[in-house]
Amino acid sequence: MDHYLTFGIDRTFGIDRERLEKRFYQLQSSSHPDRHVRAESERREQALAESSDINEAYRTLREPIPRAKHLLELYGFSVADQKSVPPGLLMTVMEAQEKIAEFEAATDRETKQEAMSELVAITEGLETQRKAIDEERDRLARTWDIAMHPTDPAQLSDREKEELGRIAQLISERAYLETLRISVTAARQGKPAFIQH
Amino acid sequence: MAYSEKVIDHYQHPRNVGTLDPKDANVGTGLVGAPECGDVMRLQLKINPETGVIEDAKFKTFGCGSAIASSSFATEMIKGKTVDEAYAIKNTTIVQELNLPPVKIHCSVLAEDAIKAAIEDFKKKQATVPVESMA
Repeated sequence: MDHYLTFGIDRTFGIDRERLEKRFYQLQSSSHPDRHVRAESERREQALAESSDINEAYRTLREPIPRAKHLLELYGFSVADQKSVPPGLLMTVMEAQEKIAEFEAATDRETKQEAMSELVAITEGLETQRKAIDEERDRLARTWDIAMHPTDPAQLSDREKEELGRIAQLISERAYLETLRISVTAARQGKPAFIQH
Repeated sequence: MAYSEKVIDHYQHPRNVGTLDPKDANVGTGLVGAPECGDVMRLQLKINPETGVIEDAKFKTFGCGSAIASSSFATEMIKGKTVDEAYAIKNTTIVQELNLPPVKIHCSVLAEDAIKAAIEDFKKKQATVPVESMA
């Protein structure tokens, strides 16, 4: 389902969130099941289905990452297929996670502090990396948005495919850093990292 | 998210968590990641170069419950198997055994990828082992 069509907005990475929100309330108020309590059951069911489509579209389009993933999927690109990871990234993430485990296992204050300061150094480096990833993605997305593109994935040029592929890859790289960030934050708060995607 | 009992058991009591010496010529290490959720999994296999049997398996996974359960289950399953048998394992076996919901199928794919990566690493190492040390 094309969530952009549901909202009747252009298929772009960047959107006007205020407009999206206004449009959401408009759409929702006309299809809200409560407005159709006295309608025939067929019309009521239809309103219910519409209402749930609108909710899903809004949830997807509201935040930049789910929105970008959706746009990519409409063109046949899936972040889940991005198997190639830049060399070193997985290794660094793994090392940082082991450092967290070390921090959590440490019983004396000194070892704990040492592990934490190493962890802070690692995460600062990763934070820089994350900013670079976000900046490149923003730049590619803006360049994409100002040009005209076909809606049919079969009509994408090689250049367009390359651009979308790169954006998908950047979103995946970001996911590794994000999962790690959740773990580090939990460790610092003394809570076990409970990861749910 | 409702996990199956088997997933919860492996998540709460993961089997074979740990590390094998990555420098050992008989140890293959597979480090893989899930591109969408950012989970990382490291699977290590100690393989007998004469018989091709997997003698030991250790893993470390940082990610959701299903990813941890998938890798824990995978290590249990492949111990005692030959390299060829292990290489042929499909993620669908893990899905069925752990009763993973559709949204968590990628966790089993991750485990399959890790097994294959570890075996490939072992084979690459064996190919470069100097002849005199092969005994």
